[in-house]
Amino acid sequence: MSDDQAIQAVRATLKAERIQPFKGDELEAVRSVESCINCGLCIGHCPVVRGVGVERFSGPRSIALELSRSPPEFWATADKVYLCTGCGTCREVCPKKVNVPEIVNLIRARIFQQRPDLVPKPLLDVRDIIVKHSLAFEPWEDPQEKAESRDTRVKALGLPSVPDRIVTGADVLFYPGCQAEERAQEVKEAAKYILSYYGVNYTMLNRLTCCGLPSKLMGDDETARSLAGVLHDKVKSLAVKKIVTTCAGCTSNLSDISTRDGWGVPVYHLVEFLAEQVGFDKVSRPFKGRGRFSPPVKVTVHDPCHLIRHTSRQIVEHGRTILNFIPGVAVEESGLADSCCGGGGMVGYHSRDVADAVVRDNIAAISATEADTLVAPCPLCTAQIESNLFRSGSTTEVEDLSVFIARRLPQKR
Amino acid sequence: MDIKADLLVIGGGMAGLVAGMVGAEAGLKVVVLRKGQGATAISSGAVDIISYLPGADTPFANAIEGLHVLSEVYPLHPYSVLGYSDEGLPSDAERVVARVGESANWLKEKLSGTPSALVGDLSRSIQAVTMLGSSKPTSLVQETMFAEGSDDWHDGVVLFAGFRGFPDFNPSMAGKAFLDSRLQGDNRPRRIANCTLEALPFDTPYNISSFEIARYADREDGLLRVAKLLREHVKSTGADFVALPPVLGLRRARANKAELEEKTGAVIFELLAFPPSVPGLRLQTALESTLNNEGGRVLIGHEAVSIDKREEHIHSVKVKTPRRTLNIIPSAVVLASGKFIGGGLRGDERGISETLMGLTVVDVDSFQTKGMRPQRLTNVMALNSEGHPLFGLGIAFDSRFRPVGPDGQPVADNMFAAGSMLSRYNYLTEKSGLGVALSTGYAAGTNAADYVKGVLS
Repeated sequence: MSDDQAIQAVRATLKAERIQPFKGDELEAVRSVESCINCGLCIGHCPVVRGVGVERFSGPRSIALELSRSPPEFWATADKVYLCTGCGTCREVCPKKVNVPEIVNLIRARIFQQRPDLVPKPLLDVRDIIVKHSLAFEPWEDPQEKAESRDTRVKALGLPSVPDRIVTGADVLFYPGCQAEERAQEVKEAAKYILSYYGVNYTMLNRLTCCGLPSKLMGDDETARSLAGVLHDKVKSLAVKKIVTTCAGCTSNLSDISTRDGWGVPVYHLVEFLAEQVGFDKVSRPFKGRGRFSPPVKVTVHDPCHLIRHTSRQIVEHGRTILNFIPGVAVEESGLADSCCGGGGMVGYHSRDVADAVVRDNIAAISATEADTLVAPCPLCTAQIESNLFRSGSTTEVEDLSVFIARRLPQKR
Repeated sequence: MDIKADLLVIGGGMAGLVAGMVGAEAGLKVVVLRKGQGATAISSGAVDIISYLPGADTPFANAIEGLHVLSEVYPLHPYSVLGYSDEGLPSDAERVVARVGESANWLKEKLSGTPSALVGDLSRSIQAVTMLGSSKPTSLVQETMFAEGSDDWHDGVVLFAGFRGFPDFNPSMAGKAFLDSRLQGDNRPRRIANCTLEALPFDTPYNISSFEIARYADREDGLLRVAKLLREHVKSTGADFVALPPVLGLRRARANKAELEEKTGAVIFELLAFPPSVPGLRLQTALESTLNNEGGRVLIGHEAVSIDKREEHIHSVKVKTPRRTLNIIPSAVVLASGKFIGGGLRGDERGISETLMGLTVVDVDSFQTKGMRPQRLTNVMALNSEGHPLFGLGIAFDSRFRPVGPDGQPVADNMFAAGSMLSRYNYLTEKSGLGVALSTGYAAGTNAADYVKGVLS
C-alpha cells in the first residue's frame, strides 16, 4: 500500500466512524481542555447558568469535559451546546484558561457535519441566507428603499451625510459588518463621519461580504473559512494596511482570521483605532474650547463580550476615555456593564427565552442607573439590549457608541 | 499601546490584590493583572492563619501560639521572615505576631462593608464546621459563616438544613458526622436535627447548584420563601442554631443572615464547602472591588507572558489577551502568580519550574529541586499529616521578599514576590494558605511601595 493509499484508507475509516480530525489551528483549543482541573469556578460566573439554571444549561465545565467523550458522540451534547452565548466569561475566570468558547464552536462544527438534523432549524435558515448572499441578513430587495431607510435614520439622529468612499491606495479599510450594513445603517454612517472628520484615508468594500462569524458560531466551518478567504482576497487587492470596524464581533473574528491566515493586517475596533492610531490628543480637540457645548446627558455603558473577553478590556477603557472628553456627558456605571447581553452565540435565533434570561439582570441594573442613554460599541449588543429595555418599560435610550460620538462632533456648515 | 504604572502586580488572588491595595493606599498608580481566578476564588472563604505544625495531628490553641512555635522551629518560613530584623535572622516571634496581626486587622477593616466581611482574630481558634460535618480550626471566617455563641453550645440544638435538589449537601449525614466527630465533653451541642427545604430557584427539584440558591436568596421572593420554610423547622425542632450550606447570597449575604435570624429567632451560619464555593467567590469579588475603590485597577483576562529585564531591573512586562498584546512599564513589580492552580509554578517530567521567568525553585528546606519530577515529591499515603513535599515548593526569596537566584542575590532590584508561589512552607499541612498570602502580600506591597518612593531600607 502506498502512502497515499494508506492516507485514503485512514480517511475512509474516520469517515465511516464519523470522526472529524481536528485542524492544525484548532489544536490549541482542544489541548487547553487537558488542563481543566474540574474546579467548577466557571459555573458560578456563567451568565447562561445564572439566567436559566444548570439543569437547562449544564455550564462551561460540562462542555469542557464533554470533549473527553469519543468524537462521534459529540451529538449527544446538542441540547446544551447551542445554548452557549460564547461570551467567554468562563475562559476569563478559568485558572487554566480552558478555551471553552472555541470548544463550543468545534463541537457545533462536528454536529453540523455529522448530525445536521440536530442543528436548530433557525440556524440552518440563516445559513441559507449567508450562502446565498454572503451576508448574515437578507439584503434589501430595493436599493432605493435601503437608501431611504438610511436617510431617515441619519436625519432623525442629526448626523451629517457622508457619501460612501471607495478608493484605491487607502491606508485603512472600514468594514462596517452585516448589522451596520443592512440594519443599523446609522452606525456605518457615523463611522464614516468620524473617520473623515479625523482625516483618515479610508476606503470601503464595493460590496460587503460577511466576516464568517455567524457561520462559525453555528458550526458551518466550511462557509466560515470560505468567507474568510473571499475577504482576504479583497483585502489583498486593496492593499490596505489596517482594518477598522464598528462591530465587536467583527473585531474579534477578523483579528482571529487575520492572524490565523497570515493576512499581516491588524484589525481595530473604531474606538481602539481612535485611541491608538489617531491619538487622544487629536480625538479630544473638537470637544475642547469655547462654544463646544452639548446638553448634559447621563450615560451608562455596556461592554461587548467580543471586545472585552475575546479581544482586550483595554478597548472599552478607551471608549470611556473618549466619552469623558465629550462635554456634558456623565458616565454612571451599572455594575453589570461587562455581563453578556445574551445576543451572542446565535442563541437568540432559536432560544429567545434563554437569550432574554441572560440579559435580565443587565436590564434591571441599567434601569437602576436612570441613565438617559445606554451606549455600547457594538450594533448587535445594542439591538438586543434595546428590545429588552423597551419591553421592560424603561425610558433609557440605546445608542451605538460610534453614533453617540459622531452626533457630538462639530459639523461643518 | 504601552501602559505605565508605579506598581504592577502579576496575579489577582489574595496576595496580589492585597499587595495592590497596599500600593494604592500609598498613593501609587497600581495595575493588577489577573489572567483567571485562582486558589482564592476556589477557597472555602475562610482565612486560615496557622492551625497545625507540619506533621502534628493536634492543632495549635490559636494562631499566636502557632506563629511563636513556627518562628522557633521553622525560621525560614515566610511568617518567620516577617520577624527578621534588618540584619536577618533570628526571627522575633513577637514581631511576627504583630505583623501578621496588623495585616489581618487591616484586611478586616478593608472588607468590613462587603458581603465577605470577616470576624475573628489571632488569639482565638474558630472551629468552623464543614458540609461533611467535620470541624476545621481557622482564624478568620466571613460573618455569615460565624455562629455567635458556638464557642459553648452544649445546651443548644443545632439544625442542619439542606435544600431539596441540591446534591452537594446531605444534612442528615452531615449532622451525624458532626456528632461523631465531637466527643462527650467536647464542645458538643445537646441535640442535633436536620431538615430539607424546598426552595427551588428554577422550579425543578433536582440538579441545583449552590450559586443558584445564593442568587435566589439575593432575591426578595427567594429569601422570603427560605425564611418561611426555615421558621417552621426551627419552631418544630426548637433549634438555637441553623447550619446552612454556604448559599446565603452573593451580594446580600450579610443582610440575608440578619433577616433570617430575625425571622427564625435562631443563629444562622454557613458551613464550609468544597470548591467551587459561594464564600470563595464572595471573597474574590470583595477583594477586587475594594482594590477598585482604592483607585487600583484590575486588568482582567490579561496574562503576563514575558519580562524585559535590563541589568537586574524589570523594565517592562509583555501582557497578552486572546487577541491582543501590550506592554506595561512599571516602576516596581509584585509577582503573586500562585502555585499549581494559579499557574505560577508548573510541574512536568522536566521538573518543577516557575512559569514566567524561570526563577529558582526550592523546597521547604531551601534546597533546589532542579529537574526533580513531581512524583518524587509525593508521599505514598495520599492523606497524612506530613503532607506532600510537592506543596512546600516555591521560589527562593530573601528577607525583603525579593526573588533570589541560586547565589542568593535578588533577581531584580524592583521585583518582590508574595503568596503561594513562595517556598519554605506547606500550606496544606499547616492550614496557612490565605494567611501567608495575606501577610506576605501586605509585606511585598509595602516593600514595593517603599521602593517606588525610594525609601526601602
